[in-house]
Amino acid sequence: MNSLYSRLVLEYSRARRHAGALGAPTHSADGANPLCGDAIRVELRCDGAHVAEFGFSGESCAVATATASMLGDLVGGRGREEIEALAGRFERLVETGGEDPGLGPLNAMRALRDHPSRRKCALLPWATLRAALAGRASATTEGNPRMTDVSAPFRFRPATPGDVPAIVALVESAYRGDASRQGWTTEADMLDGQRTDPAGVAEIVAKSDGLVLLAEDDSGILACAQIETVAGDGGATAGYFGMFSVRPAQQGAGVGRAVLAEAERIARGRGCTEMQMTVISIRDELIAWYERRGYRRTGRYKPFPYGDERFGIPKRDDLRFELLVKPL
Amino acid sequence: MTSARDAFDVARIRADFPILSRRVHGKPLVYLDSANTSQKPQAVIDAVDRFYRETNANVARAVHALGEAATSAYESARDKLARFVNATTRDEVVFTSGTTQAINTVAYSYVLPRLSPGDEILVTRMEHHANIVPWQLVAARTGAKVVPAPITPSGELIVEEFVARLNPRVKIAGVTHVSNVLGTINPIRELAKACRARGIPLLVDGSQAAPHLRVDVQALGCDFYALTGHKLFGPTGTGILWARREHLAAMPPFFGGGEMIRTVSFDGTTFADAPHKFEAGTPNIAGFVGLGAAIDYVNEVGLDTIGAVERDLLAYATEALKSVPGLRLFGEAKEKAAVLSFLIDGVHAHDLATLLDQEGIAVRSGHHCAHPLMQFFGVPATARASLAFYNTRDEVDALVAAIAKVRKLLA
Repeated sequence: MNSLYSRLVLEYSRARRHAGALGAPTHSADGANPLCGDAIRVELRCDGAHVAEFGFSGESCAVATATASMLGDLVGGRGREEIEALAGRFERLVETGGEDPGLGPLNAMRALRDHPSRRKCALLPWATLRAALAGRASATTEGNPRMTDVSAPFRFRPATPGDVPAIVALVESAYRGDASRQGWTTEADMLDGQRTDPAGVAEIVAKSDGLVLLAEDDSGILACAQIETVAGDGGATAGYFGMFSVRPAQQGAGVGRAVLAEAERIARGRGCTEMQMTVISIRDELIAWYERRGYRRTGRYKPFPYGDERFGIPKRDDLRFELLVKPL
Repeated sequence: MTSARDAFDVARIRADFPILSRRVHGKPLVYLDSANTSQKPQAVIDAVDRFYRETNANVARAVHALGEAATSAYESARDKLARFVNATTRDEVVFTSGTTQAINTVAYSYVLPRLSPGDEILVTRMEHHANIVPWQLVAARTGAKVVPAPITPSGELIVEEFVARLNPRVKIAGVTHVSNVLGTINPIRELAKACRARGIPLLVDGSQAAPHLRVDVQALGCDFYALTGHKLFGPTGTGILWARREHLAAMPPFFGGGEMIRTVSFDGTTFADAPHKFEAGTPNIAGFVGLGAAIDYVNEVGLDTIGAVERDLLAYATEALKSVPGLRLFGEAKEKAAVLSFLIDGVHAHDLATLLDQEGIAVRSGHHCAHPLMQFFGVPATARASLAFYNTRDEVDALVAAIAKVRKLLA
């Protein structure tokens, strides 16, 4: 009758795996979807930093119940930041309908791509789980369909020379070393060494035709991106978008998407008719992220600066940059 | 009545509504969500289209030919609506964006200045949020409170309980003419009589009544009557507040701006008379021209015919739904419009609505902007099929067949 109500979804919804109250929860939260009146309670028993047991209760539709059942299977043994990253991936899955092997049976919710009005049903258990982990007592899907934490909005500002050390640290944390593996932008398997250095960042911040855009909240800088004006094809003015980094723990929460949108807005304001960027060509996941936001591969490549350790120490010899372009 | 129904040619009526011939998910559309918004006949679509093609200009300002024609088309809609609700004069008809704006106008212009701490606003348990929240907002500013009158499990207002709550602290009563969830038709005349005897003004939310039954504000004896155009086969963003002339004269403007003034200076501004005093800014001109066409259309079909056809459909649909195992019907008032709220054991309303949609059947699911009523029944949501005179018994059969399919899948 409908691909959303697949055999898998119906099975999980009927089985109500992980349904019921936990004996001695360490974390709990109540979630509500004001749109339909559904309410769900999530209780957790955490063992140190990891979820040892997950339980849910409440009355909800088949989509929410199946999601909660599947979620209980997925989160056992995982820590908060890992779960935050998975939440972002789940959100992408229901929006784009793309596959994500790491999400297991939750891939059944890909069908929600064609049911935007029902996405909140599947987001409700996630939002409630995230609230419980964050120590908040309640969660709502209202006005918050992307599950971004409304209690911590961020703001934009241009970087100043004083921000350089923090920017360098942010860029490194997003791409290099084990810390970056928390997020999905990591290049740890491709490159060692540094991604950039203080001198390089200071040079970019000081450029007169450039701008380093920062997104920050009360906890500090969440994301950065470099916006420059360059010559486009046929004498057009183009924007160049680079040095894009989001704090690994915040990835998948919509911060990056907002930074990209703000950068495009700024570029348009400067009269740019397109935005350009370069991406390491083997990073399919990253390229797909840009493609979902209107960027197209051009098949035009730039060599990777092998031998220049300012850009890192490659672990493989087939790296090159591909130019991506989006008309503004 | 029977003869009106027998003479009724539903195929001809359906041909007047272009959207009814479209398909959804490859199936013929079965539109059972008219209480949410009604579909629009070609006559309304044409009136809006023609206005923009041939007449478009601003109203009450321009002296050129188009301005005169636009003003005349717009104001003739007021005449039609005045007759439609049987107002004493056309000046009692204030154009609003819908029922919500109409009720807010009364809440802020009429009620707020009269409220003191401890005062009460009496409503019923079955009200739409539009007839609860505006009252709560003005009550919160003044220390007054909103009091609900109870209903029976079958969804009827308990009139004695309502009357018992009409004490001297009550500054206004607000009651829906027809419940959007239950279909219950409230005994407005009786309630108005009780209010009037105690000097308490009564506002009636007519959103769900106007499309289905004859509204006569003088016979009803209420003080304010609000209705919305988009449920009455007209465009969205249209509606009226009807109010007794003396109330409108005593009320200060709600919004300020152009069109509602007589003279403006920085020493002070004098306001136009009602209804223009309440119509600041350029209105939804084409929308009201379309609403005028909708009134013409309804009059042409005839409210008696509409009422008879819908009563027949309601009886048929009620029987049909009751035959579905595990189906619980909400609202079984003796006087009822063609609205059927229901739940099926083991099936969530949202799952039901999504699956019915796959069969081309549009129903609403959710709380229907009536949280207090959902709390009364102890459910978070219901599914609701709401019928109009363009619906058919075949469509009811399609609904029942699709429900059986859903039950097999989910229950």
